[in-house]
Order: sequence, then C-alpha cells, then structure tokens
Amino acid sequence: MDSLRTREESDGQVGTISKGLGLFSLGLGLAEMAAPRVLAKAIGIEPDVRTRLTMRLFGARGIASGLGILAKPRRPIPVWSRVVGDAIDLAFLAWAFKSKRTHTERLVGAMVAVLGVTVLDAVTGAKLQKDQPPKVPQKKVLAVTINRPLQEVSQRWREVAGDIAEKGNVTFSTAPGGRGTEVRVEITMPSRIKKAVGRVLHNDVEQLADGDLRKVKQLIELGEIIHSDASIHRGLHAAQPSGKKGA
Amino acid sequence: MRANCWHGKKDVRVDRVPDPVILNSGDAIIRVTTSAVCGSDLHLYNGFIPTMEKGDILGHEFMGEVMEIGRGVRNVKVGDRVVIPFTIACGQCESCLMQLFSLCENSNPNAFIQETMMGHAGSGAFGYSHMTGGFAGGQAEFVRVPFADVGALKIPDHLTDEQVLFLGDIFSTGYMGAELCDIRPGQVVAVWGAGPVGQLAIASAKMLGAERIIAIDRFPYRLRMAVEKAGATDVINYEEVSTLEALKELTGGRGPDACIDAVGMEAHGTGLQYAYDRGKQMAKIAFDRPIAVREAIMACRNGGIVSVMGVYGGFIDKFPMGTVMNRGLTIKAGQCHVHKYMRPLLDKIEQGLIDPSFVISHRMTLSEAPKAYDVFMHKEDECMKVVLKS
Ligand SMILES: NC(=O)c1ccc[n+]([C@@H]2O[C@H](COP(=O)([O-])OP(=O)(O)OC[C@H]3O[C@@H](n4cnc5c(N)ncnc54)[C@H](O)[C@@H]3O)[C@@H](O)[C@H]2O)c1
Ligand SMILES: [Zn+2]
Ligand SMILES: [Zn+2]
Repeated sequence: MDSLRTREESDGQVGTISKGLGLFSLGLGLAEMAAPRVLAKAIGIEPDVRTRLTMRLFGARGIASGLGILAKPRRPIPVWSRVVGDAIDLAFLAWAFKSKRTHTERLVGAMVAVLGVTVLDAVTGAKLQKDQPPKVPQKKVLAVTINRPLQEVSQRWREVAGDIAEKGNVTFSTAPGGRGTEVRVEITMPSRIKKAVGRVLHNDVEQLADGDLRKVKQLIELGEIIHSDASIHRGLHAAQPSGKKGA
Repeated sequence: MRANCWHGKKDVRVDRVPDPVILNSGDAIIRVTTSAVCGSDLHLYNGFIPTMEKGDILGHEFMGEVMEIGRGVRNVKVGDRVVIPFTIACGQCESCLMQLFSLCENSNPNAFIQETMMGHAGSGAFGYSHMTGGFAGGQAEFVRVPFADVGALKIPDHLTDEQVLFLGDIFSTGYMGAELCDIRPGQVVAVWGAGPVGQLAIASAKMLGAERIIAIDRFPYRLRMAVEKAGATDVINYEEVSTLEALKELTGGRGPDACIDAVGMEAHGTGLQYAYDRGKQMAKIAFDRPIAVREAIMACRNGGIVSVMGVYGGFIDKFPMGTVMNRGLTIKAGQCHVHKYMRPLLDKIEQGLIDPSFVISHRMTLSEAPKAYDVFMHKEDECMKVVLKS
C-alpha cells in the first residue's frame, strides 16, 4: 500500500502536465472542427475548401488523442500519439509555405508554437514512459491432487513430469485427511496476445501445462497416459479410429 | 468397419471408417452385437451439445463380444459376451473409489474443455462429443473399450442381448434416478418424461417400494406403457391438464415426496414460456429448455427431493431458487454412475424381478441408423426405443 501511494505522489506532476496536454488537445481539436476558417486565417493560411477539410481531420485526430490522454493520463501511448500528430502538423505547415497566398509571418509564428508544444509532448511522453511500472510476468498456479502418498508422488515426479518440470516451480503437500497428494505448479503466463495465438495453434501454455499435469496424474495413478480416438492427434480430429479403413 | 457418424444437425450417416486398435493396455476391442439409440443421442442429433466434429462415431449404449484385449486386461477374455457402461472410468482415482464413476478423474483427455465451461470436468464417455473426451462410440461394428477390467460386465449365456443391453445406460440411469429419491414405503414419486429413461425410473421406483408413481408426458402410448408395463399408478397428460394442479389434486395438496426429471434440455411445453425457452435455445443464448425441471421443483413436497436425470448443458434462467431454499428441497443429479449399478441390476434381471426389454419398440440394423434417429426423434409409429443389430 505504501509503495503504491509513493508512486502516485511522485507521478503527480507529470500526470498534471499530461492532463493539461489532454485538455489542450481536446480544446484545439474542437476549435479546428467548429471554426476551421477562423483558425486557418489566424495561422496565415488561405482557408480554401481543402484547407478546411484538412483542419477538420486534424481536429478529429486531436479530439481522439485528447480523450485518450484524459482517460489514462499516466499512459505514455496517447501522449506519443500527440507527438506523431505534431509532426504531421509541422509537415502541413511547412508545405503551406509554398503557396503564394500564405501570410508568412503568421505561419512562422504558428510553426514556432507547434514546435514548442511538440517538445513538451515529447518530454512528457518520455517521462511517462520512464515511470511505467516494469512489466511483471503474470504467474498462475495449476493444481492437481494425485491419489497416492506424498513420498511416492515426489519421488516419481522427476521421472514422469517431463516438460512441466522445467516450466514451473512445483510444491507437494498431503491433502486434507491424507486423501492423496496436492501438487501445485506455478507457471508464467504468456502475454494476452501470445495466449490468443496459442489457442489457435493448439499450444496455449496454460492448457498444455494443465494437460501435462493430468498426464502426470494418470502416469502415477494408472501407469500410462489415457488416449481417446481424437486425443492421440494434435489439434482437431473426429472421434473415430485413425488406422487404414477396414473391411 | 461401418459406423454411424455425426455429420451435423439432423445428419447422421453410416460410413466406412478404420477399424479400432488397442491404444492403452487396459483396452478391449468389442464386436458390437446390439446397440441402441438413446434420448441423449437426440441432443447431439439436434445439435444442442457443443464440441462435436464431423465424423464422430455415435452410440454409447452397446454390447458385444470381446475380440482382442490389451496386455493389462485381467478380468475379461476373448470371446466373453459383455455389456459396456456408457461412461468411461479408471477404477483407481478418488472419484472411482467413491463409486462416482461418471466423474472419473482420469478418463477424459479433454477435461480442460469442461473445466472451462463447468468449473470441473466429468469422466470420458463413448460417442458423446469432444468435451467428454472424443471417444468413438458403439453404433458401429467394432469399438475400443478403455479400462475393460473396470467396465465390461460379463453376461451369462441364458440372457438375451435385449434383456441386458440397457444395463449400460438407461436401466442404470432410471434406477439411479429412483435411488436418489431415498424412497421409503408409502411414498409418492412423480416422473417427468415417459420415455425409456422415465419408464425404467418408474419401474425402479416400484422395485424400491414407492406406493404411488405418477407418470407425466404428452404421448398417450407412452403413458399407457407407463401404467401397463412399468408400474405407474397414475398418469398426467400435460397437454390436457395443468401438471401442477393435477399433482396437487392427486397428492391431496402435499405434492410428491420425490420428483424425477427424465426429460432434460429439450423439454416440450405449452404457452408463452415454451415459446420463450425455444426462442432462446434457437438463438443459441441458452443450451437448455428447462421446463420440466422448473416444474418438478415447483411441484415437489416441502422438504422433498428432486432427482435430475435429464441431461442439461449450460446455464438456465427462471430457475426457482427461492422455492428450493424456502421449501427446503434437495436437488440431486448426475450422469449415471453406471459401473455401480450394472452388477446388482443384472442380478435383478436374473432373478426375474424385471425385464427392461419391455421398452423396445423397434428393431433395425446398423445400416438403418439414420432412419432410427429420425423415427425416434419424431416419435413416429409409437416409437419408444430402437435397438440396432450389427
Ligand atoms: N443422467 C444420465 O446418465 C442419462 C442417461 C441416459 C439418458 N439421459 C437423459 O434422459 C432424458 C430422457 O431420455 P429418453 O431416452 O427417455 O428420451 P426421450 O426423448 O424418449 O424421452 C423424453 C420424454 O419426455 C417427454 N417430455 C418432453 N417435455 C416434457 C415435459 N415438459 N413434461 C413431461 N414430459 C415431457 C417427451 O414427450 C418424451 O416422452 C434425456 O435428456 C437423456 O439425455 C440421462
Ligand atoms: Zn444415454
Ligand atoms: Zn477414475
């Protein structure tokens, strides 16, 4: 609890700046959407149809970034999205120099202003990034009760556990009432994306570890791994024998 | 060999498939002589049980002759005539040692599917989707039987296939349904569903000493059999009268001491509630149409027992939990622990106390399996139970 509070406090300042940027992004975005003509004139660009449309698109982008930041002011990604936006803005302004009808002084002023904000965005993004708590891999405990005394289970574990012995820390304890041995294996969970991919490819770490644990139970309780007509295949297979077709 | 395979909703075909081979040391290969179509098969047929694959061999009620055994098999030998329980059990895990065979911890290689859907997993079963393991079923010429020592029950020569076939499923199931009711002399039992399971639950309740047994269904021929063959004392046709009112009248307002649900997830009903449940099931928001179990709970006597043998798959709504709690009901349920009942029930058949073959209405060949499903499903031609000869 203590460490949590300390973190929140030390983050406070960047958090405030980031919120400020969020509000600014939202405000500017709304203005670009509502009054593209006025804004275009203010920065010295001819407010023709194309310019107005561009301003509106930039406005929509600014609103999205702003909302993103306000929703999670301590996450760096929404702030980085602003930095990307700033770069696009600058490119657009630079391009506007080419037009003869551009008011050069105003445009230079606008570019200086955008550059300033860009620096602030980048510094804030970097600071938030640095303050992100390190990604701790998620742990999960899988458990199974094997209907044999602890000594037998722990002795046979190495020989029958195979893969799962390497995958995680194992602990043994006698089940309540001496009803077998509880085996707990702590595994490291993959990221959410890896897990989803694993599901599709039939090699989801959790599912495999769970299956391995059951196989260990079968090996110790029965002496062999039990197969069905489908389970001897990896992935999907109909529940029918797989040899050559008989008579 | 030839086998009856699932290909999709209302689509089963007798295909040519590879012969089974021994995969585990406790296996036996059986030449199937007689198999049956069960009410549970209809749930697969109608596409209500998830995790089916095209080509899955169906059938979980079967018997035959042992052709080959694995090196670890001791209790049966080649040539034995055996009945096989529909659930697969190892005989050595804690559940098996507690005689909860349909909850065997080692026989379902796909346990993780059920763990995700139901919290914990049940045992493997023959021909009943991949969440019960993906085992090929027995509506086939041959079938591989895991843990033959634990499951296969040897049958004396003087009994016919038809007399003993149902030990492997519906007779044991009907009996368990009645046994869970803790019937004492003088008690009243009501049975929802006068299908094969219901008939054998009625006959078992009678053997266990129930004084009055009330059968509930909508098919007159099934209600007739309940009285003439199974031993029901009263019947209710729920299309003609309200089941709840009729039960109150029949039981002097008390309600039955025990209620058995032998209907399950595809219950039929009348009125708006039925339309609602059917709609939800068709839209795949719900697996089950829980009409019979709701009614059984409402009807049961204060402090009574509701025994659920009908199969359900998922989460049900409008479940009268307030009734269960406030009226102190006990709900018992389960896939049948067939292994526990087969031997004692075989004794009863041998002693001539019962002959469960009275439910058989149709005899066909394995090649006619698709027709058998259709006839049984639509209750055509007063169909009660179809057996298939291989
Ligand atoms: N628990 C187990 O181990 C086990 C084993 C075998 C079968 N089953 C289940 O038992 C159930 C019955 O099997 P069966 O072979 O007798 O099937 P079945 O389809 O022949 O019988 C069901 C009967 O219920 C009747 N019914 C439908 N709605 C009803 C309602 N609202 N009220 C009263 N009766 C109603 C039908 O008219 C039919 O006669 C199925 O759900 C099946 O899956 C369970
Ligand atoms: Zn069945
Ligand atoms: Zn077991």
